[in-house]
Amino acid sequence: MALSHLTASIPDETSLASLRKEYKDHSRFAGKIAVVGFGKMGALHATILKMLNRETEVAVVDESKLVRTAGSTFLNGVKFYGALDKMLTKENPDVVYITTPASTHFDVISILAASTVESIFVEKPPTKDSSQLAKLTRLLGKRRVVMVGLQKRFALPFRHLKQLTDAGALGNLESVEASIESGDVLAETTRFDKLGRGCLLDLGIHTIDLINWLFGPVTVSTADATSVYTKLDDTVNAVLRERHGAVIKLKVSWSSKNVRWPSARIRVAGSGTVVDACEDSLLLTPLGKEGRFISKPAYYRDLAAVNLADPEYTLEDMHFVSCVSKGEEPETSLRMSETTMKLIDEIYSMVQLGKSNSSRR
Amino acid sequence: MASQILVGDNPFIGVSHLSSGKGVDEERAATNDQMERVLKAALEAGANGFTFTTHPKILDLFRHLSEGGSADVLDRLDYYVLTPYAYEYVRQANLRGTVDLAWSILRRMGVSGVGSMLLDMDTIPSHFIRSELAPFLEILPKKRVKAVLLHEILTEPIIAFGSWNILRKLRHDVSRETGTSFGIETRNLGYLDSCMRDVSTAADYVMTPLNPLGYQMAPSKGACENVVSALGKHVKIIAMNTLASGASTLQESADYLASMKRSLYAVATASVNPNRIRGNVRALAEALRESVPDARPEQG
Repeated sequence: MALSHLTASIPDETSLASLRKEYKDHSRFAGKIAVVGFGKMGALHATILKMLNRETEVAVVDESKLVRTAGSTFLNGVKFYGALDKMLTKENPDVVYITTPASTHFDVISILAASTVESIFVEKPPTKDSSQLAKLTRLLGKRRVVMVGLQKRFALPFRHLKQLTDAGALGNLESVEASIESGDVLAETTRFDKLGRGCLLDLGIHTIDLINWLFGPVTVSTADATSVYTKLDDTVNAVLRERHGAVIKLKVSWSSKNVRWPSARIRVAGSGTVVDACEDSLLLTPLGKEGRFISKPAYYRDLAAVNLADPEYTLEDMHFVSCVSKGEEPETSLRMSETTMKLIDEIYSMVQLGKSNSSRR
Repeated sequence: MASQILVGDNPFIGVSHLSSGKGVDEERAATNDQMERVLKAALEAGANGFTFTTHPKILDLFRHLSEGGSADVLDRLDYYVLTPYAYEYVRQANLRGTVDLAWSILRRMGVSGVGSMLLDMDTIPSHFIRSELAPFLEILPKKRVKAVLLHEILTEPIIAFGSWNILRKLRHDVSRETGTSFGIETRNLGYLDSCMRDVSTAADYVMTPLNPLGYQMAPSKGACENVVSALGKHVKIIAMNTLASGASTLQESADYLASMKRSLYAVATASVNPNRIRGNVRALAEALRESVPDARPEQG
């Protein structure tokens, strides 16, 4: 595919321009960041933030002595702590990233709510359910900047899709197919038992967030789940309806054998145009016409300030620190994630109600 | 001057930076026989090296070549080994948690508890790399293994936090234990502008994306080009993702790489299609002409 063809196929300059502006804004932030839980996500965010600004100071809290020992050996200039309260007292960080297992998020955020920390980033899912989230929203108050790590929204093909749907460029909405799949759980595990919820919460939250963001309020018509490797939901299928009645078919699985990386896909059929979007690309097909394919290199060419994992992680972090600098509410704030968490609760309640539809081991 | 044209293994193991679906399709097509055809076509066209990840499928390919009557293919290539195979570790971390995964790796290396771990922490990275390399080094012609390259999943935090002491020790240990040179793979080359002296004391090679689109060139295409120009005098630079994951034409990429050939040591290109790899290698060889030697078995 020729470079000139791809270059000519980027119609969302407005979106790209707004993201480029954030590239400039992020440099205003230079402070002390604490990362609570130094697994792969903690290391990812710490590395991105340090690359974005070398002046950023990083402290880490992790209960594992192995992690603290290895981290302090291999990462220059990072202070490691075994307890959150000790770190808060000693470091007084400007920003705290929470990248511990999801089952701990409620307790960690509750502690931070009672501290002087002004800005919090919590990886998805923010809590186990919407009632926990509502409690935290009340505890945290309105002045703090609190963001949930729903990075799929920052993938440019999905942002492009949002522009198209907001502008009514697809015609009347007729149907939607939305899915997210990974091959993460292909062996028996009890790791998620403590949280009590499976793939819909852990992985499906991305797609539920995208659906809410793109189409507004939806209702749940049917839902069923299967479990193969865990006692929880390994696969969830649901039928939703958006406010004008269009059907949204949802599929979530963390046990797909043919998926290398977690992959979200949304197919939107409008009366005039069909769009297929995923993290990597967007295919725009007007009815009766040839489709236009826009690829990842075309979207991200010369754009990623830091290239680590997928580019949406860097864009997400830049959006967060930009909001911290300006004192603005992030796009995926904790408060605004309540709608997403309520929809997840509703789907889980349907799964429980429809046990005859659920095949459990 | 660019003196090597390397075959890359991304499509063999399902990696596509254009789309995950393409990666899955290519991985399915990449049988041992097909990969052998690709390597032979590349050799015929003038390629003289193979850069690969320590992935079980590549190990199986090497066994297939070694035991299936095509050992001459193995003898005609130089090897640049990218390790560890990060994807599998990330997947395992998702399933069991990072700490549990780390302990299982340490146990595999013979570290049984916190006490011995504390004693050995400085040497753990080189033990780990050695254990990843071992099955590959048993098969490949020793003199043809030119460099061990540290995967970006470990390199990027080292760059971010300036932990060059770790790299220097790894370089020393890898050189002593395997007899090969040591390098890094990074998709954030531009960030090396302020630490070139550190880089040149810690790595013999740097493998990094270089393409006319600036795709995966962080923080910007211009910043990466500046580092290539300056760092290429001290470190051997290998250009990867030269076709911008298929978004750039072959001619555009060849012209772009030719414009910086004095700063490059090698360029990599990849495909599961023998005809396509032949065309890619020929076009790159033409663009980089006067510096690519013939591929022939190493003497002695």
